[in-house]
Amino acid sequence: MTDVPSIRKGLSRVVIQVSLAWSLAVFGVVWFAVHHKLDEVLDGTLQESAEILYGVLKSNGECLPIGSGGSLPAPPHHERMVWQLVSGDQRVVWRSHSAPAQPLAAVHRERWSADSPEWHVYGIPFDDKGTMLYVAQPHGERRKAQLEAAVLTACGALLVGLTCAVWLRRRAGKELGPLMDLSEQVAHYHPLEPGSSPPLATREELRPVRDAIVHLGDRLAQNITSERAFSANAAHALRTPLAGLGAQLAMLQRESPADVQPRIQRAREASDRLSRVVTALLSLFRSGGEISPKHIALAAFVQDLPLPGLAISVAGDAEVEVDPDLLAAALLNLLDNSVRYGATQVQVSFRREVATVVIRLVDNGPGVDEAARKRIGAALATQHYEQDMGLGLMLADRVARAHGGQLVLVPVELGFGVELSLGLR
Amino acid sequence: MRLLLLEDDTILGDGLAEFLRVEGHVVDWCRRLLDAQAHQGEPYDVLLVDWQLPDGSGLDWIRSLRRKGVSTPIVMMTARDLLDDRIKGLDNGADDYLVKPFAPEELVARLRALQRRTVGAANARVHIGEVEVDLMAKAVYLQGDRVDVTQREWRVLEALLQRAGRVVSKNDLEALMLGWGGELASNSLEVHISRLRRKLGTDVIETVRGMGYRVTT
Repeated sequence: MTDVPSIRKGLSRVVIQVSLAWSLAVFGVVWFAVHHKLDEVLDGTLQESAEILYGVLKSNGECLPIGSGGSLPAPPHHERMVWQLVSGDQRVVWRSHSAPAQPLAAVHRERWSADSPEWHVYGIPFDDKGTMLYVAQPHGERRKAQLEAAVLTACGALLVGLTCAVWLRRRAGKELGPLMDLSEQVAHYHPLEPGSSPPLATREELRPVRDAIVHLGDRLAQNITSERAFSANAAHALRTPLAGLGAQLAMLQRESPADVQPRIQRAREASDRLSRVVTALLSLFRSGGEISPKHIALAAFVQDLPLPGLAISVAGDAEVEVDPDLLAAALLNLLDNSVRYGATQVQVSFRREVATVVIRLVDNGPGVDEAARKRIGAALATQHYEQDMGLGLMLADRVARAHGGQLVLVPVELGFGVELSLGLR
Repeated sequence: MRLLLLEDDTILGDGLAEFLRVEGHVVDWCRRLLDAQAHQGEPYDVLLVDWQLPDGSGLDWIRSLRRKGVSTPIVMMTARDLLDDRIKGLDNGADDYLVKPFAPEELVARLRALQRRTVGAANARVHIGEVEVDLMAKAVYLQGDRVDVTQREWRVLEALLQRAGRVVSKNDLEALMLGWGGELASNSLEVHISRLRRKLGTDVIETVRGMGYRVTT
């Protein structure tokens, strides 16, 4: 069977794709929101810090060495925020520990200055002499904070997305469970068996499928019932006249003089052969490919086959589960073929292989040439029986195939050889 | 043996009836179930019954016979060859089941097997004192020597052997010998019995006064 797309794999693929897209979208939205909010928070912090500092410096201005140009003493540490007091003539009169000795803003500007490539600066006029208080954060520090926020957001979104993907994948598998259950039930559903219940649809979407299967099963059951009825009628219509023919010929043989006995005997043999063929055809037709296997010993089975005029020698034995009626029909037709082509003896042997039992029949008839053997063999292998063989080989092959085996022609030194394989159960 | 053949097919019925007659049996052939039912009280050794008949089911008839206590051996001859059918036929009272088409010789062999079972013999030979009867060869021996019997004498002996130990009335014995429409002279049966006694000994066939005759094996 060729590969067909898998619903489960398709759903998994879609779930993963949707989860990743969802993660990216969530990341984008969250990142956009966080980026703006972070800027606001940082700006607000800077502004608040400036205003607090302003108040502190104003309140304690007399006690502090403002105008010294020095910096506020502090232990060694990494400052994320710096400040400066810059006089009207652009001189840094006092600053925090890590603040540069140069003014943070090139020109005095109240509130935000964006001219520094290194600093994000907020300025407040400090006195009426043009002194400005600048509070600043390094751009790098802000970018670092933004990057950390972005990474955390991305990781969070990805984690949530993957978790959702795993969960959705499992969920999709679980939702496909009823479909698998339905398949299982359909596999065991036999519309003709009284105890076999139709499959159940445990999901609304499966109801049409279930209804279609039950409908199909009903139609098939109806067809098979009709065919069986036809088969039974055909059996009666064919078997009874054949029995009548046999009885009349038997009577004729009793009443006739000796000189016509051989001719009547041939007529009886033809009638018997016709009976066997009809019986075999009816068995095969009625079976419809279904078999009723029973355990049999092949050697005794073959020796019990009624076929006058043919010496059957059996070598070895094997036991196998087969439909005895069908196997008898197949073997009788093969043996009948041998008789028709002039054979008087058939050697039957058995061979057990890994998964089959092989019945080998070799007669002492004229056989077929290599070209014919290959042609018939190819027709048997492809089941194109129409032109290359008679009913016997076709019927035997059908029976073998119904048992999981097949019929093959084998090369033999003398006569005609076939091997009929039957699958082991 | 006296046989009732219930078979609607003319060609088969005619052929079988003739074949069985040639084999030495007395055969009454019915083509309808109704005809067979009309004669079901008559003595028969074996009933040969088809399943599917124009006016009913042979199987149903067999079932009703068994319910009434009729123990006559029955062979079902039918085109129905399914395993279920064979089981149903045998379970409902048939003693044997023969699927059409069959060779008439096979039917005759099965009748012989039924006869052996009926008289309780493992093989075809039955002993009545010093008399030995070979049911298959239709031959009679007294102290090991072959005794020639006529066809009618054989039928009398065979009918009594079929019912060994039981008293068979004169009427039944005549019916078993002749079938439908057969006629005997008023004292013919006594003549055949007398000849058999002369050939085989007076003890072989016992007369039960006012009732009939009996053979004890």
